Amino acid sequence: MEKFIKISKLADLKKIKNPVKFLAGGTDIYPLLKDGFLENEFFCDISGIKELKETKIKKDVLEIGALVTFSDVIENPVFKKYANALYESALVMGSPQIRNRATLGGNIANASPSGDSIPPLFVLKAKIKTNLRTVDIDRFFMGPKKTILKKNELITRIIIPKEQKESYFMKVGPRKALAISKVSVAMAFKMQKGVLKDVRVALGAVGPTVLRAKKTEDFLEGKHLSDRIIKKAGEIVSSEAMPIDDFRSLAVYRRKVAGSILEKILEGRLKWVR
Amino acid sequence: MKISFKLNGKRVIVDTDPMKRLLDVLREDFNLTGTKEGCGKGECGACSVIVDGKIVNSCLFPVCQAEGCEITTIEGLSDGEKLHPIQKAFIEAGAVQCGFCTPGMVLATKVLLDKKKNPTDEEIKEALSGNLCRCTGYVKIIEAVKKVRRKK
Repeated sequence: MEKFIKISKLADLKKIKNPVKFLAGGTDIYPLLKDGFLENEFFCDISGIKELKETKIKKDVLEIGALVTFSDVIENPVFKKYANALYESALVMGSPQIRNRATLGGNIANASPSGDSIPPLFVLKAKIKTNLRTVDIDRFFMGPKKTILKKNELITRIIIPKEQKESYFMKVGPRKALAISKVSVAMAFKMQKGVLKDVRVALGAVGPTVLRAKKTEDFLEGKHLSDRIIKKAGEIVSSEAMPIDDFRSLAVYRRKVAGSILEKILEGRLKWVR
Repeated sequence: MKISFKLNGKRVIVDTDPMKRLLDVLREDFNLTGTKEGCGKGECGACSVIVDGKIVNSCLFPVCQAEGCEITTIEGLSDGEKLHPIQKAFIEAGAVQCGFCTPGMVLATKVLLDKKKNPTDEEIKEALSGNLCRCTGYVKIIEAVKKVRRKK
């Protein structure tokens, strides 16, 4: 018997008897299969669940289906408008081929510390909705590749508040396309007469999960943006990152670059003020 | 599992493991060996095919998800012996050396030109960024895309 089931509506989740591995775009699953992992998994193809492909604009929130792809994020103008950091991360994630298939739900469930959509979702105050519960993204990840998801619990939607704020994302990798981030930074804030409010900073690939840089946030809160403040914020964020040495990069490099990226984002914003 | 889809304009049915890679179905079940396996991990784009107008890596694509789709491989591009203008341009520009990346490059180019008649150099580079070539250094490939652009 084939170890495979395909469901076409959310209600069918209840019918699943075995513990399953959910299959959406397959872009993270097939490289593992190629390496001989997941061979004994029972797969459940969810790619046909239409309701999870929609993005709905509600009064206060964006409700994004878990099967929305990175290409959808680039093409649907609501993302640039309400979730610019997520839009910017989609532009630089993978390649056209990967973006056409990879889903937001999959990027989250895969729980890589370098998953490009995750730092933006942290600064955009996203909530992750599953078939069982709704959780703040801050509480969703337990470690590299580890989440709070229980067996057969499926991410169904991502909820982003529609507050009027700015958000940005930048990453550094070995090359432009298809690069897994060595370091990434997402930032969100409101700017009122040159003063930063409601600042949120999240760092990718410099810790066991994506991290909030809370000291940096506290430092920037209420500050008037200037070259001096930007430099200091870069130093703080470098000290707050918790990177490791691995085959992609050295910790010392990642720390330094985390600071540089933050500075670059804020310098870009400062030019615009002047 | 029985899966039916449109392959290079013809309706086909295949009875196979739903998790089999589209790449393997194309090469083994349909003998369409123009689609190449490079890395097998979605990093090189040699296995690129067009599914419902979008470029995808067939090495990461479960065949079960091809149900009802329209798939174009490199074999579906020429009109019998008559080469597609993109194929001609690649030959004329010398954009083919070992040839392993070429089917993917040509299909990625097709998706680009179907959407944009006159892409800029930046748009060409972006559209081909998921396809690696280890021979040409890309200059001639970009020239080839521009050649098609000029002809149109």
